[in-house]
Amino acid sequence: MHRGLPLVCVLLFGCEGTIGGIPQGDPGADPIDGSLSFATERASATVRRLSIRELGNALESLTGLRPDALSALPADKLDYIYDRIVEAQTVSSLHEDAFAKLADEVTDRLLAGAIGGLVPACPGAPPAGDGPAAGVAHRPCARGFVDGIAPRAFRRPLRPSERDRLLGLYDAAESYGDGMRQVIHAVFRSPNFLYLVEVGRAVPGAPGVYALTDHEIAARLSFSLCEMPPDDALRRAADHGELQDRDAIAAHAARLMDHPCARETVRSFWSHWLRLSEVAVLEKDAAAFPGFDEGTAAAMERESTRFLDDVTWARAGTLRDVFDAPYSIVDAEVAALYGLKGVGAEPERVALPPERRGILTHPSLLALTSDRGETAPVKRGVFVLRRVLCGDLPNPPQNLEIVKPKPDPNATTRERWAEHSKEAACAPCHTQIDPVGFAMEDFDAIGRHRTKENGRPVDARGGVPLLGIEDGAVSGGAELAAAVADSSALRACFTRQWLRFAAGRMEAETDRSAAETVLAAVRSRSLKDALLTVAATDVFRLRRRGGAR
Amino acid sequence: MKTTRGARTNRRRFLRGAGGAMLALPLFASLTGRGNAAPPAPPKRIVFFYLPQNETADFMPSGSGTSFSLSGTYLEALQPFKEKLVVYHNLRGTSGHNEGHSECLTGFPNVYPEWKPTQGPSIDQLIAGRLAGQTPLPSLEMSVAATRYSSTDGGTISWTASGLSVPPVNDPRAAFERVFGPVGPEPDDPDDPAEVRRRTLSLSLLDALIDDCRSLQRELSAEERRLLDAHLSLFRDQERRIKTAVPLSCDDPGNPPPVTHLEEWDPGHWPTKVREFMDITVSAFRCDATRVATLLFGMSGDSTALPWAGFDEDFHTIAHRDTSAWREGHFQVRTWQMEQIAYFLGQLDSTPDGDGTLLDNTVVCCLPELGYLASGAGDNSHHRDNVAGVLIGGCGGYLKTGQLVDLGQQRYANLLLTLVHAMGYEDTSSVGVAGNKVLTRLVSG
Repeated sequence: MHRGLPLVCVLLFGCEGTIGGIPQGDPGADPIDGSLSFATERASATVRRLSIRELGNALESLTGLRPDALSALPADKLDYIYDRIVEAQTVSSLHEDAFAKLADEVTDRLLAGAIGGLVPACPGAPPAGDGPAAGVAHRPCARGFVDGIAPRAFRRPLRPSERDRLLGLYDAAESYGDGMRQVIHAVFRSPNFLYLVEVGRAVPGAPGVYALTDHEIAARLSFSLCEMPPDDALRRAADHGELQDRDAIAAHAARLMDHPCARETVRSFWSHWLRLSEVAVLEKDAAAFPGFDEGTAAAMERESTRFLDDVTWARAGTLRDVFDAPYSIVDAEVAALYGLKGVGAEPERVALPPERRGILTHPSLLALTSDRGETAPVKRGVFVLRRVLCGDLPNPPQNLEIVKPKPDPNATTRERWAEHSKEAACAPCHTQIDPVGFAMEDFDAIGRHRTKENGRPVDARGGVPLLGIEDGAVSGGAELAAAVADSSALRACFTRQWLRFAAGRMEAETDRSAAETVLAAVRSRSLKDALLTVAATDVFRLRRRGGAR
Repeated sequence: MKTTRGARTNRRRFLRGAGGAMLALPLFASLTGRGNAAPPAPPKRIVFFYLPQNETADFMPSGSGTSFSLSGTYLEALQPFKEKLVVYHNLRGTSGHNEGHSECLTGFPNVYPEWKPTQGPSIDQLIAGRLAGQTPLPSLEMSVAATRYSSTDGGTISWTASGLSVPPVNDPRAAFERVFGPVGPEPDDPDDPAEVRRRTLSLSLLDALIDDCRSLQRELSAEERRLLDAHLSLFRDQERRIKTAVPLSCDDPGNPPPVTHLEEWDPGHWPTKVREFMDITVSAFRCDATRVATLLFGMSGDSTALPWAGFDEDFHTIAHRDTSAWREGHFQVRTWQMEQIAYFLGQLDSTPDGDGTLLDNTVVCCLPELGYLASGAGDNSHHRDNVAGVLIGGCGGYLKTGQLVDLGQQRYANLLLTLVHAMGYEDTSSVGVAGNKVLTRLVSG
């Protein structure tokens, strides 16, 4: 165990106590100091359910079908930001009903003929006159499915007893249609398919520590980076016992990273972490922003997605680039928000004007962290401190009456909001939060640059006291973005977030050495390389058994 | 039975179970002869309506004890049921803001940063567990909120004993199918050999699935098994439903809501959804398909604007304000909710059940998310220091209705314990935090 290091991330209540271990009201301190901290002490074991995304991808890769019944599943819970974090997962009769519906739909669509293309021994059309004779005649189809599809669904070879069981279900049904329905349900409703189960083998001399099997590693790698079951090459490597070697794992990870599925996965990570998935449904006040509509919101989200793709893949950029890049890739719709002329419908790369740097100054995030009709400095401040820097801000006190300042056509948003920082009950938190939000006041609620509001000059001076950047030390979104991009807190936070997403569980103190490996890569290497380093750590090789048997 | 087969064709529905077999479940009265049997004592039912946000002084009836008046309050729509209801106030919850949904049915406070109680179960799940096997569906959970909200811990009030959230269904058609099975073609007679065979297939499939769960469980610690344990018990529930085919006590579950392709997140559908959920609940009770239902009028801290209720601002903001205009908005939202509940009560009270009506054998609990302050100022405080609510229906004669009761700062969890006892489980000794005393003033006799 590592003692004496910052440990548990606990949300504090009331504007009392500490943030990140440092007493509040001490803005000269540097409480988010970039050292690693963890959500829990001990990793919980990951017997986690496939997310809806993973389930859809898995069914599609195994059967060629993407069932409509996926929409019957209750949405994955986002308590810990991402859709695949085991601590937030539940399973309920709504889930089981949906799993049964999925299996029914897969059965119906496969037996209508598609199964002929999937398993060579299967008929391309339903047999005329199904019954015991047809059941016997098409038994090779069942065998083909059990030997060809089931091991891929379970991500490991079937045990002989499992194979016998599945074929027994087929035989007992005494018809082709019923028999295949039994087999397909038994595979796609099995916990062996629906859950990523890792058992491993006990590591001698390390109580409670288990080394994952080759097939477990293959599944972890593939679901983590691609959100789908292992491909042929990974399965072969697992079958041949080649995945106990870190270099071999790293090589497969690198291979998957160049596959389109990894791009989708990394997009999902950014989209969850930076809340980009919420941008496309943003609504704004029609009177204040007459041109803003669904198309604008969608274009904002696309800009950020394109930009992140570009930094991560095309340019082999770094985490710093995400937050201080002097360029973006905009289409005409977004260009209008930037005040740029001459951009066509096709997105093009443009140099940003000096007031913008990196993703924090994208219209997407600026609009997301605003209200419908005006900016919301507190939301912007909280977003940067909590989401981007992993700061432990307390929630407002239980009985606090949150009253937004009244509209005043003769004042700026900042002037109206400044009042609440003065109140004794609010000051300890808001002296941390508000300077961050105020520094972005040079952008309006749909992300347009501004120097005046309500005819009065905008004051965009601010700071990040939690990083030791005093209020007044920066002015405007670009300078704020540069300060965030420079901070070690950003790199530590990104490390935590990626570790959590990649592992599918809350990051824990027991992940420290893995986190240090990732953090070192985040500091010195490209984003893509940094993302890859996690695959070669113990997070992908070990299970630490939790709780009593 | 006078009904002709043709007329009933599309009104009879059967559960599609494991393996896709039509399980001929639930069996309808006319097929089992249950409709002709001597009527047993009617069962007790319980409904929980979750009302996001706080109560204001506009909640409080004038008068006291058995002499009180609902007029002028936002409970006024419940006037026709005044003799069948109890208005209570001055219960003490565990904490406040952000905890209302967690504590609502569990009696436990919230655990942060998750939006869930420190422990389960909620009493709807507790009661459903006790009722297991007596009805086809143990409990029915419904919410008007879109799935991305209703699937979160902040979007439910139900948790299992092991603390897993139970997400409500948010589509009325799906709710109907959960109770009565998919709307499908005329099934064969349940005693038909083909149906018997399908049940056999379903059972052998469930056997295999249960074995898969069990062989995994053996390798894992209790903590690691949490989801698998829950999954296994879902398979076991299905197995039991097939083995102990519980008949419905009706022939006609009513018309299913249409399959909609409306944007489920659009709150414009809430008024329709609420009515449909309520109609399904009445049918489910009438047919004895389930005895426990929850309906959430939005998620915890719901910020949906409710223009049809006469106020086009988000309800969360409304609830946080203390000006007269905001108070009026809150009044109108609660009035709309109470009108819906009055509709539901009317349906229950016009449905014969035993010697009385369904309402006589049901308790309908209107539970707000947050507390109430008697003083004029600060009604927007979001705490649970003084929790108020309304119970309607006699619950088979258990509750002493027709009264306004000041519960004198007793623990909120005692209300939950009282409701568990009202449902007949008087061997339950404790619920939630310090819920170990029945609120005798709510109990008749």
